[in-house]
Amino acid sequence: MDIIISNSAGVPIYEQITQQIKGLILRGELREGEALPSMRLLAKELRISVITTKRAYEELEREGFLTTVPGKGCFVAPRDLELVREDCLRRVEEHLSQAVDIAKGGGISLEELTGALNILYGDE
Amino acid sequence: MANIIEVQGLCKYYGDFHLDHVDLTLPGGTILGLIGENGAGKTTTIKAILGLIHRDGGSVKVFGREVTAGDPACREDIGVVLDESTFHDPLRAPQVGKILAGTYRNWDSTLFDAYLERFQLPRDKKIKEFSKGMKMKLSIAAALAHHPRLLILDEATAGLDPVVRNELLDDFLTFIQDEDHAILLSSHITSDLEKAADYVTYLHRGRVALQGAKDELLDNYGRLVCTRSDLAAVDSALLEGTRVGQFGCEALVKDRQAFHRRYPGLTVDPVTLEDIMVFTVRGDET
Amino acid sequence: MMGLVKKDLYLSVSMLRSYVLVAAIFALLTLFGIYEISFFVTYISVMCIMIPVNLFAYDEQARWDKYAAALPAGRAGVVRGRYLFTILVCAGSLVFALLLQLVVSQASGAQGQERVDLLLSGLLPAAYGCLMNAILLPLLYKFGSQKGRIYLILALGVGVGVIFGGLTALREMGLSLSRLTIPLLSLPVVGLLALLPSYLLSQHIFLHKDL
Repeated sequence: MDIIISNSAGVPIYEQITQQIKGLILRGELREGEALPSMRLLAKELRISVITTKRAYEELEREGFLTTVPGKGCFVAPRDLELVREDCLRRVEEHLSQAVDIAKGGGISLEELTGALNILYGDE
Repeated sequence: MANIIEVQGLCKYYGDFHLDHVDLTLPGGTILGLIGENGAGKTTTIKAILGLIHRDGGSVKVFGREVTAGDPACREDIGVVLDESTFHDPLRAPQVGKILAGTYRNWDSTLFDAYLERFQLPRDKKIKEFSKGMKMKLSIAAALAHHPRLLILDEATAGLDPVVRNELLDDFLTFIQDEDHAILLSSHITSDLEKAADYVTYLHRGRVALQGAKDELLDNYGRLVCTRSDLAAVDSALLEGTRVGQFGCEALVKDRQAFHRRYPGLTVDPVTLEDIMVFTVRGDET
Repeated sequence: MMGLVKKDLYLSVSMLRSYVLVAAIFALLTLFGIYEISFFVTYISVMCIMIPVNLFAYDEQARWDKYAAALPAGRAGVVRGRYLFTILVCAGSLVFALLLQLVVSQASGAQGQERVDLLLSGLLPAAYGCLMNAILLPLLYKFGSQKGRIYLILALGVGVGVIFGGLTALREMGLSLSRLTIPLLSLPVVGLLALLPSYLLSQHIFLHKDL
C-alpha cells in the first residue's frame, strides 16, 4: 500500500491520507476485510504524528470506509462500492455544472473547458 | 493513552523572571515539543518536572505521582539529558557506563556500548577532549541505555549534525511506538520538532503562548502576504502579529480555511513552527 | 548510590596516586631525619579534606548536582555517596598513616615511648579529617565550592596550625604525645560521630536547594 504525503500541498496531511486510502478502496486496490496498518506503524513509516493518522482513520471510520476491531486493528469495511461511485459521480456533476455556468458566462468554449479538464486530471 | 506527565498551573518566581500558570500534558506514546526563545522558561519547566526546583504554585505529576524534590518517584524509568550538565572532564566513556550501572537497576551495558559504537565515541579519550556534540551524544547514550519509559531531553539535539539528528529523531519515533513510553523534547530548533513532535507547547516569557497538536497548528495557521491596503481591510481579530515592510505586509492567520472563505482573493501560505513563534512574539510586542 | 561512590573513586584516582607518593616521600624523609614526623602527619590531614573538597569542585564544574538529583538514588543518595566516600578517605588515611608510621618506627629503630608517639600521631589525620569535613561539607552544600573557599582556607589554617604547630611545640618542649593518649584515641571516634549531625544537616540543605 503506497501513501504519498506532500508537505508543500496546502491540503492537511490527515486529508491526504483519507483521500488516498479512499481512492485505494474505491479502485479496489484495498479489498473488503483487508487489514490496514496500525495507526502507529503508519505514523512511524510516514514520519508523521500518530495524532494525524488517528484522525485520518477516525474520519474514514466515520464515513464508513473502515471498521475497528478492538484488539485486532482496522479493516476495510464492506461497502457497496457502486453506491459510493454513484455518489461521487453525482458530486462531480454538481461541480462540473457550476464550472459550465462560469464558462458560459465568461465566453469560454467547450473545447477550452475540455482542455482545462484534461490538464487538471492529468496533473494528478 | 494515559498521561505520563501532567503539569497544571505551574508557577515559579525568580527575581526578574517567572513561570506563570503553565499547563502541559504529555500522553503516552507521544512526543511533546517544548519550544520558545532562550529564557522563555523551557529549562525551568523541565526542572520542575524533574523535581530539581521547588514550585511556587501548581502541580506536577509524572506517571501519576506528584513530584517533589525529595521523592525519587520513578526515576529509574526516566532518561534525562540536561542542557547544562555533562559528565566530568577527567572521566572516560566506559567509566560513565560503570558509574551508571551502579545507579540504574535496568542498566544495559551492551546497549550502552552499542550506542558508543554507533555515535563513534572514543573509549579511551577523556571527556575533556570531547566536542560539544560528542558530549551530547554521550549524554543521550546514557539516557537511553537503561530502558527508560520517559525521555526528558533539554536541547539535546542542539550540538549535533543533521545526519545524527535525523537518526536520533528516527530513534525517538521508534521509542514511542510503545504507548507506555513518551518523550518531552525541548528545543529551539523548530524544524526538529516539526519532524518528530505530536504536540507542541510554545513558551514565551514564562507563559504558554500556544499549545496543541503540531499537525493541527500547522494546518490551521497560515501566513498572509498582502498589500498595506489589503491589510487594513482585514478584520484584525483573525490575525496574530503583523509585519509591515517596505514592499508589503505579512501576518499570521489563525484559521486558514475560514480566512480563505472570507477573503478568497488574499494569499495565505502554509507556515512553519518558526513562523508561528516569530509572529506570536510580534503580536505580543504590538 | 554505589555508582556515585565509583564516580568519586574514578575522579580521585590521579589525586590518590600523587597523594600516596608524596606521603611516602615525606615518610622516607622523616626516616632519614630530614623532616620531622609532623610534616607527614600534617600532609595526610590536609589531604583528608582536600580530596572531598576537590571532588565537590569537580561536580560543580560538570554541573553534576542537577543531573545526579534526577538519578534513582535522588538527592539523598548524592549526599549519602559524598559522606560515604569521605569516610572511606579518612579511614583509608588512618590505615595508611598508621602503616607508614609503623614502617618508619621499625626502620628508625624507635623504641617504647617514641614508637607509641609515632603511632599516636598517626591517629591525628583521620580525626582532623572527619571533624573538618563534618564542618566543611554542609558549608559547601550551602555556599558552593567557590564561596566556600574561605572556609576551606580556615580549615587548612586550623589543620596546619594545630597539628603541625602542636606537634612541633610538643617536640620542642620534649613532651611525649602519650600524655594525650586518651584524647588522641577518642578523637577519631569523635570525628566520626560528628559526621552524623553533619550528614543530616547536609541532607536538609541539599533537599531544600533549587538546583
